[in-house]
Amino acid sequence: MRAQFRHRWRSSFFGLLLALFTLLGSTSLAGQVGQTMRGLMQQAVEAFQADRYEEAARLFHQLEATFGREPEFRAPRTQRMLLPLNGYAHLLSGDPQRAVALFREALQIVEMSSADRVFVRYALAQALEAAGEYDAAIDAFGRFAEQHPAEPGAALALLRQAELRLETGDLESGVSLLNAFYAGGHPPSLRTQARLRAIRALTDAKEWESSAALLFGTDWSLRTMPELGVLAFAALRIGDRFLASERPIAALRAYRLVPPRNELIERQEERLHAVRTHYARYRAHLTPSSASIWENYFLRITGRIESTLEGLRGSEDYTPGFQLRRGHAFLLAGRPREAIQILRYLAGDTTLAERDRREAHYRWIVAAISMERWDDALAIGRAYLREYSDSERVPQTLFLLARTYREQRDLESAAAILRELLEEYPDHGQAERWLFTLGFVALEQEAQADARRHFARIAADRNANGSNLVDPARFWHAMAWFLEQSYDRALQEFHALRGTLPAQHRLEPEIHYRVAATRYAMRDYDEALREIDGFLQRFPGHAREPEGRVLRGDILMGQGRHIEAASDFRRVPPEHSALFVYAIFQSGKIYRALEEYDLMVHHFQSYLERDDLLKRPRVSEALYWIGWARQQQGRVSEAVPLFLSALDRYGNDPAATEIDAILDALEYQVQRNPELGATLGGITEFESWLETARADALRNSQFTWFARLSLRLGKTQPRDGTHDEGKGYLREIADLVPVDRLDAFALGRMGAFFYLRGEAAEAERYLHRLLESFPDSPDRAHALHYLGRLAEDRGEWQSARHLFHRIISELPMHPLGPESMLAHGRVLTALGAYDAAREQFEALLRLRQARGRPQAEALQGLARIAEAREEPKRAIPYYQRIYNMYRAFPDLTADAYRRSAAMFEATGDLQAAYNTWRELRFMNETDDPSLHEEAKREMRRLEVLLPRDATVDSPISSDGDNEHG
Amino acid sequence: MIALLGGAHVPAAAVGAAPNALVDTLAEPITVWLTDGRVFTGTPRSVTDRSIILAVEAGRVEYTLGAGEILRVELPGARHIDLARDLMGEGRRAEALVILETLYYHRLPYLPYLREKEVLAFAALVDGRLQQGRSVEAVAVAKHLLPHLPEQSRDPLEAALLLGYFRLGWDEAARTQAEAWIRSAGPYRRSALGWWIIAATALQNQDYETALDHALHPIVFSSQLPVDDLELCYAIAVHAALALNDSNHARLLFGEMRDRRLKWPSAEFPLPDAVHAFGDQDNRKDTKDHP
Repeated sequence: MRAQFRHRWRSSFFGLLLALFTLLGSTSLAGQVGQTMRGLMQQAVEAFQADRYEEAARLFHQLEATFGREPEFRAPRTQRMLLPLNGYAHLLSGDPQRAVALFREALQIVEMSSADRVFVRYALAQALEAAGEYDAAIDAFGRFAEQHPAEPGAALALLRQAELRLETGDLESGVSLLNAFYAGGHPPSLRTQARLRAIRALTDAKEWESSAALLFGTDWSLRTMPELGVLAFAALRIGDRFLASERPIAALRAYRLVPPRNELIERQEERLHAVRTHYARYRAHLTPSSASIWENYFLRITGRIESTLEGLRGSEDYTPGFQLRRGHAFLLAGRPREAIQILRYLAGDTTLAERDRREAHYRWIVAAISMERWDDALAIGRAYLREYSDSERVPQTLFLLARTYREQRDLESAAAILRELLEEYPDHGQAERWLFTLGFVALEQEAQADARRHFARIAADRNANGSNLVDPARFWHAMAWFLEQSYDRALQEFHALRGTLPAQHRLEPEIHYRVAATRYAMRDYDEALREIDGFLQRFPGHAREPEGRVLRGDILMGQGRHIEAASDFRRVPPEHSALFVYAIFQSGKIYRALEEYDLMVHHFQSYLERDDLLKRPRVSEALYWIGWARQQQGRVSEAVPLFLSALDRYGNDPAATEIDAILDALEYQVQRNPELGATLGGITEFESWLETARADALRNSQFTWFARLSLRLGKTQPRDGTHDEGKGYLREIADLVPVDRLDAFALGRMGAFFYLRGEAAEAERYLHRLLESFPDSPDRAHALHYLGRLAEDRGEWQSARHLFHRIISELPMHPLGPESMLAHGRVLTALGAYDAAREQFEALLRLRQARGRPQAEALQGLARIAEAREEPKRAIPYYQRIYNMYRAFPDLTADAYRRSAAMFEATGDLQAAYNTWRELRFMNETDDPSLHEEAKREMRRLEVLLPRDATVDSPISSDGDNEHG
Repeated sequence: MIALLGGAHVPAAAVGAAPNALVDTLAEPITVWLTDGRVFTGTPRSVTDRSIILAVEAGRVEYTLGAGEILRVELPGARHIDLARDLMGEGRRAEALVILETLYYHRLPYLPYLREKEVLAFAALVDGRLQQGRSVEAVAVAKHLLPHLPEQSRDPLEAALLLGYFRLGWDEAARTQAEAWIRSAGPYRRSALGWWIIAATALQNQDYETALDHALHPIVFSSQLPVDDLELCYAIAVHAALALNDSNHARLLFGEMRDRRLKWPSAEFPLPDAVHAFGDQDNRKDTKDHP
């Protein structure tokens, strides 16, 4: 208190002191009495000037006590100067109550000048404040502002009035006054100060919404405002509050006002210097009365800034923790790119504490995952595990990696990590979730039995944990039966689960839907319909309602109630685009089945004309059906132009499907209707038309169309890789067509072509393009298969395994399926995963479409496994099956003979070995002389080893002829 | 044409444009302090980075002063540097640059002997030339001055050099310089220069991911305290986000730019058409989030 007043009053009192000395010099008090008063006054004034305020106050008191009755002392001209001095001496010596009385007395003096009256009024208000008479002080400041509105100090008085309201606990009134002050025409720096006070008061009172409204609603003059630190800390508190309340957007807005610590210190120091410089210029223009008031304000503000700086310099740097929270806020606000910027920087900043770097690194993984940057997420995650192997977040990090692998469809790696987690941290709080996820992964790997085992473990823990994963686990346990097509078991479990759930459980609608779907899969359409109707009636507006509609349509189709089915399909809303398109084409099937060709045409035309769809896939397919319908109506003259129009519009579009089907339809019509030659530019032979169109396509740089026509003409299925049928169409495509112009089908064929020719780099170029550009096309099977073969050739077993597994699980019915299963089996064998390999080969043996060579090779694979396990007796039967049943494949047969002979020999059964070689010796299915020679040599070798009574042929002549051959 | 002025070769054009008072001043003698305390005042006959040959006593005596023994050199014309600074402050840039240019050429051979603040005085010349679009000359001056400054004082000239490279389209040099600029300090800077230059170059080369990544950095690390060229970063980020088909992000960034009272830099980047569709959507108004 003393310091803030001291400087203020020096200038003010200069005038009073001067006047008093003049008075002292002219006083008429003579003799001992006048000199004593003068002497005392002089002593008091000197003490005052020397900042010895207690002494000055005592002397003033003594003065009054001694000369208080003297007319000279009591004269107004004396009192008007003495009283303010006296009052201040008391105020500064810690006796504000006395000061108040003296100031009040001073204000009674009529002769007091208005300038002196100004600062006495202000001083009175301050003394009242110092005396704890806050209400009186508030009134006094308010009166000052009313009585001296033009004074520069009036603004300060209003500000102080508002601050006192706050300090006395009257938040509402204080804030109201400060807001009024802010809205008034006061100097900007004071208005800013008022706003800051209000924000701080509201924040202290935890009135977050109100404080935030002021924070965001103020145009902060950040280039000039002095108290940056106050603003920064208020914004930080408000931001943290919003973040804790999960309001990241508001948190980020508040955080925007918080600079990093070092920058805040630097800029705050600049502002402090600016304030001092500005005030030094400004005070030269102030009147003594105003100067004293402003000096007080200046001391307050510089004091606060210095205090802020001291606090900043002496405290720990808040920046890393703050930036971590900002990174988190950006993530929550759905701005992962921004989050990554911060987190990546913090994770790599070696000047930070390890705990901050570690936390940032972990969140960086989360941010990468949220952006679906899977490769980045894996790399960042692995780096985290290397760097912070002791961190308590290791389990969570491993789980994030498992999630990432799952997103990348590397399910085996995902499962491996989850199993590792469960082994290493069986009691971890998240162990159940890991187990649940492992169950899901098993489902995705089509290992339904494994999946059930995992879900069953969770379900069995109900009594132990009461966790909220138990019911979902039971649900998915049932789903695993469904996916395995064990529908009865699935139904049983769905019903059991439904019976135990409380009313309005969140799983209830899902179970209803699934039961309907199961019934449908069992072709129990009546029950399926009952269930789906129950679902649609009981849960209108459920997220699955569109699917429910579609399912109901399919059920009705199953019952032959096509018209009703079409009605259900029409109720699927277009915003569910995948279901909507499915419904469109299902309805098309209905019209086709009902032979309602006009309806069919109208239906697909309506689809093509819709303008409310974000995506409109299968357009060429729709056009095809329109043309087909016209064709069925015998309106060939309309169908063919439709087909040609579709080809014209979409033939060169790599994304268009059904182009081949349209060409099939066109070819069919041309073959049956020679008069259509006119429509085809006078060409009557379809192949000729194809050649002409192909030449035109090349001339017009319609590369996609050119490739399609080339493939159509070539109709190649490269087998041996040395040539393609026809005229080297594939090589031409490779030479002329840029890769990005090929459709999925062409990319697959080109990739296969180059693989079979041994040109790995070229093959990879097409196959990778296929996967990247057409990730959902069935033709991606070529990419998966041949990339898998390439990996197998290079001995990259894990990659090969992953790729083959993908085609088997994603496209089980694709023609490349059996070959992929074989390759998968071989790769699993190479990896030593014999059980899995055996399962794969056995699955192939059960596959109808794999009859012939693939099954022979599967048997060979099984035999190889037995050999690898050193189980020759198990290997032999497989080889025997090959050479007994698959003699159409001499290479496999010969190999089977060779290997089984070796196996017999390994078991000590030399006679059987001899007999086996003998069979090979006389094998008719091959004309390879080296095989026969080899057999002869082995027979000769074994004859020596066989017992005397063994059954052997007559000694074999050099030309190998034998009556048994 | 080159004029010999006070021992230095000054382009005639600079001499011709300079005030006569300056030209006369620069012809005055120089003073050289040696490390052993001796002081010489005279007319320079030759100035290299190895020695100064000074003619004293009306040219009758010549001293060869080796670079190793020279403590400092006082050249005429120092007050004209102050004059140029004042003219800059008054907005009379063209006049100031004429003076600075003359002084620069005069002092060019003496650079190894000048104090830091005397060398730094010519940063204004570099900035002035950049503003006039004379990027080649700006780069040349900056490259001459930089070797004569300590590491901690090079920032303004390195920034100017970077800007010069960018304006000249020297992408590789700009990128290298920008990366050095970025590495030279942490993320909290008062300028976004290096970031926006790399981002702008990437944008031109249609490398939108790199453009967005770099443009976002100063946006993310800045607070409400002023950062030079931040509006350029926002503009590039909006363009890159739109090119990456992320109109949502572009809209967010554009709204944030407005909230931060930053003006779109139309001179450098056109306002994308897509921005007009953003309308008056208020980024702050998240129904769950807005206070």
